[in-house]
Amino acid sequence: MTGDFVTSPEPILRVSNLTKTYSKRSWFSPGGPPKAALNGISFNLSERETLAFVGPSGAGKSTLVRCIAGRERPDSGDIWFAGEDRRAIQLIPQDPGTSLNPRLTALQVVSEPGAGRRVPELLSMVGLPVESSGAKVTAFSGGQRSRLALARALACDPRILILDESLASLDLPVQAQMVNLLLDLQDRLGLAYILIAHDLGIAGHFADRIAVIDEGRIVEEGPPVELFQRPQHPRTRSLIACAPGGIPC
Amino acid sequence: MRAGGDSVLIRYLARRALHAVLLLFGVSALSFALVDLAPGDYFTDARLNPRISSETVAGLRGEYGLDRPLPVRYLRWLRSAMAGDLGVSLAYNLPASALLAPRAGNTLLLASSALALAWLAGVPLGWWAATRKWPGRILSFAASAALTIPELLMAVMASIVAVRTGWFPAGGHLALPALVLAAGSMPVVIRHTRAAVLEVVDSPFLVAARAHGISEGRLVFRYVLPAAANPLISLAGLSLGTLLSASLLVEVILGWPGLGPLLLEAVYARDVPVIVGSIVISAVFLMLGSLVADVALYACDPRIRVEA
Repeated sequence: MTGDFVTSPEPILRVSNLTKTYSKRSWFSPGGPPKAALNGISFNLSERETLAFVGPSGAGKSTLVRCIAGRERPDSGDIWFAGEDRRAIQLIPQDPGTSLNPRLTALQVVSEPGAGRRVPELLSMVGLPVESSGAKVTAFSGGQRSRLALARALACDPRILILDESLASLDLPVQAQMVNLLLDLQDRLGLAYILIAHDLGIAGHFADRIAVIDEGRIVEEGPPVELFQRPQHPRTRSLIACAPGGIPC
Repeated sequence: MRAGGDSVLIRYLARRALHAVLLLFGVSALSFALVDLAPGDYFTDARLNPRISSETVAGLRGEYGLDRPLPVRYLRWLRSAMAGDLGVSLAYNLPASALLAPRAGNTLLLASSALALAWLAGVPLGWWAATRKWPGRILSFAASAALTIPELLMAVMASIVAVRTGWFPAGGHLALPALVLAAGSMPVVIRHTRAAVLEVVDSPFLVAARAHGISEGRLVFRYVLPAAANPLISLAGLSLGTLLSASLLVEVILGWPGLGPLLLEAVYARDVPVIVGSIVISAVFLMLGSLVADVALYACDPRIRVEA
């Protein structure tokens, strides 16, 4: 169940044996041994697929997505992407609102990546009123800022959207609306999602596959129903036992 | 929406003006009380002079109102100050405002020249320090070390250099005191600019903007500089205040005809109207600096507009 796995359609992202180690040494302390954040992670992702990574804090989930989004360089391993422009992999961070410049208007935020005339279309695509394009980012609520961050990501014509616990800061009804919106966009634009989540409930509702990650390794992977009903690894069992809102099966 | 924004600004300015008036009351009352606490008054020396009778001294004290209790003297001064009259200088027998106005203009000229010099050099240096790892750390450390040198010592050193080398006019010229004051406040500007830029460089919205492929030039002018501006604008307002207080001593040492030498003479002579007038004018400068900074912040930062 661990390591490399292949899905039936042609993958658009192939990650092989990714490793990343952080040193704890500093000028003032020799520190302990280096910590392996990623320890040989491999997976494939296909078009229109949603792959969720779940695991405890410090398991390596955020390091993994930062490496995929090009924000961090892995120590070794390969990331192959079926596209030339890395902007087609877009990351929406944990608190999407903080990723927006508070001095800009919605129009400026969405048009910055070069969307230009497409701004009204992108705003309505994410369910924001076109008339709000002149309002400053600070005038939007938390949920609306998430939609704005999504519109800006869509302005880059992405093929893969990475949601790094991007839904965690939203309250439940807004979370549900965002999940529906993301599923709708996936349907219309053929997007693939990589979802990072603490909450198995969201991952179960949203993802086609769930990969449990622990100490920088994928310890178990499979479709949500299979994973929830027949967990093999102790880490998976403990995550299911600790799921705050229960699991969707 | 615009009208709403304007009314918020007017309310904000009205609140600030009220605070300023209250503060000026406090500053002037405290100055009066502290000068009164010091032993003696302007006529103490005259009392020691055997050729001046004690009746004459008492008459003079009465003429200038110094025989009245402190609250009465303060209220009389306050009433005339509100009409623009800061009283009569005991030492010069001239209206204090006529003495103070040109001196205050000189001090303001010196402080604003030093402010401009410090910021024109400090901001680019701070930016440079933020964008280079080791040279930046070394410059930041050097700036911290420079902070420990008091302006007084710098002024003495500058005076010696000016006399020995002849590069600068040694007294009464703007260049030397402005350079000394600028050198004294520049380390703070460098360190704050570096810190502000470093904070923005790591902010999530800049990381996200970079990931969206926005060009570096656009990132600098649309993201980094406006976001780093807030702490720097506040600092600029405070800088004017610290420059004004530092300038008093520097003016005395380097012979610049500002408020400093006049205040020093007034303190020696217990010339209360000039002392209180100098302090109140300095407080007004400080408040104006802070107000300009606040209005600039209000104009630059949409979050402050919402909070205001």
